Amino acid sequence: MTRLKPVGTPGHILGTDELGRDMLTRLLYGGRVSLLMGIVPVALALLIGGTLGLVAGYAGGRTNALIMRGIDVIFAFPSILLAVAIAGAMGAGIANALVALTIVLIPPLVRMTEAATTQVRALDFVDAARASGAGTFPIIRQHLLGNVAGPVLVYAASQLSVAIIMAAGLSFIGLGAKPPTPEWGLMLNTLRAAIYSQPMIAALPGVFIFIVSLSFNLLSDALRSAMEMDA
Amino acid sequence: MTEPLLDLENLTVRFRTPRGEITAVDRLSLQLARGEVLGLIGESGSGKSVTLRALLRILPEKRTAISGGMRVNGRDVLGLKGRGLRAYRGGTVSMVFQEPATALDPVFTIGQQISQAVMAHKGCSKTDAMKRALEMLELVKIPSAASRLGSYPHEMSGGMRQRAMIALALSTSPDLLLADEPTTALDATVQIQVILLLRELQKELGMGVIFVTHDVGVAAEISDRVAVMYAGRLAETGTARQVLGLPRHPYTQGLLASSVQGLEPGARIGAIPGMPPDLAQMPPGCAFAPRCALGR
Repeated sequence: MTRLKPVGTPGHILGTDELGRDMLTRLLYGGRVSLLMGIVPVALALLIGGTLGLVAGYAGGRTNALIMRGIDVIFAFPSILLAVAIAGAMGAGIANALVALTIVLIPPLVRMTEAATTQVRALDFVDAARASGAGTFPIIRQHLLGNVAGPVLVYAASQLSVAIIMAAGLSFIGLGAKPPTPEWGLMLNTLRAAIYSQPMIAALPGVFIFIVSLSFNLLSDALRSAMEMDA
Repeated sequence: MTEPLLDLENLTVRFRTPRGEITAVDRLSLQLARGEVLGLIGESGSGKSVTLRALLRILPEKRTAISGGMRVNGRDVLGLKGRGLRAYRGGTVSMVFQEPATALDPVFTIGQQISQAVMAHKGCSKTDAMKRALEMLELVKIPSAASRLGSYPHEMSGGMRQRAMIALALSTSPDLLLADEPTTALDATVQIQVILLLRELQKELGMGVIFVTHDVGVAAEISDRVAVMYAGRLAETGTARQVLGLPRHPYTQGLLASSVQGLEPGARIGAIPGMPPDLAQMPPGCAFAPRCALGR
């Protein structure tokens, strides 16, 4: 326990962990992994889910039913449980955790995009665009994407914090990053032993997770107010 | 006789619905000469808007069956496909929608929307398309047109939006303009301005116009000829003077009688008894017979 130095030790502003490694350094480097595991799955899910949702919303009918019912199957499982199951089946590792998180994040994005697209598609300007001779692809790209992008991006931004927390959760139970990679969820787990001797240090990764996910929530709130245009 | 601009022969539009097949437009035959304005009147659900949408082929294809003859400039519209259809939509025939608030895309500026249509049809550069957009806005008398090019639809008033919509529809110089109740969503004073503008532009550009309305006064103001529709069928057609001055069909008579014009304040407005028939369960014979004063 002598390796664990308290917060404020000269040379180690935030102390050291159970192996004597500098906490500040590990938290900063851990941020890279956590941000990666938050942003990459959301970006991938946005790409895949957004496309599926646009197609389902524009095509309607049977195509819509096929895509949406398929999504419902995934949606039926609680997201954390599903992420744990997928990551567990594929084995620990950052790449596998990324895949698991992406799959879990897709269904709500498909639903969101599909709902917005269906709503926009019924508006006159889509008919007006068709009436002035625009083809299917330009209509989807300009008129639908342009009108759907706002709310969907806001939602995706709010999912960033969810993804970061889920990623930390996966690492905490040993399904994400592997030691010695500094990852906040993993650090939280290995520092559990220190909770009685150095509670401040044990709590630090959690504080970082909290601050980052709060920041992303505020970002999505700010995006939402920026996108709100009153007619 | 020269070939008519528009020739509809027994145009029939059927929709497949969960309740069975509905005939929204039933054997409609109409002709429109170049430079002529046809007022299409009828109450809600009489098939006016469906006729216009069928003309542009923008009804949902899977659930709609269109039969009969539909020729514009002598060309069979029902046979058009792909590129030919896209060039026809907007290039030969374009449409002004009822609600300018929803018929313009809120995320693009007026200039962008007009120039996109111009570029698609005339294949010109963006600069030329913007020039054309500016000309069009000046043509429809939007004040300070140059700065309005960069405006979004929500920054404009209803009347101004409808002018922009007209500019968009005319930017590709169509031969036939379809106006689907373009003044219904506007204030009474703005309505008159838009009608006068449309009439003036029509004379200037010499295009044919089908003006759909349920306002008999508006139809009288703008039309050379008038067609009255009831339950998807043509009830009566003729010159505006004939049809509105001396209506022969009892439905037209009823329609004209249910106007506030020339009534004493407080007097009850005449109404046609009953309801329009359910299009899925049409009465045999004349669709108007159950409500007709002469039919009893």
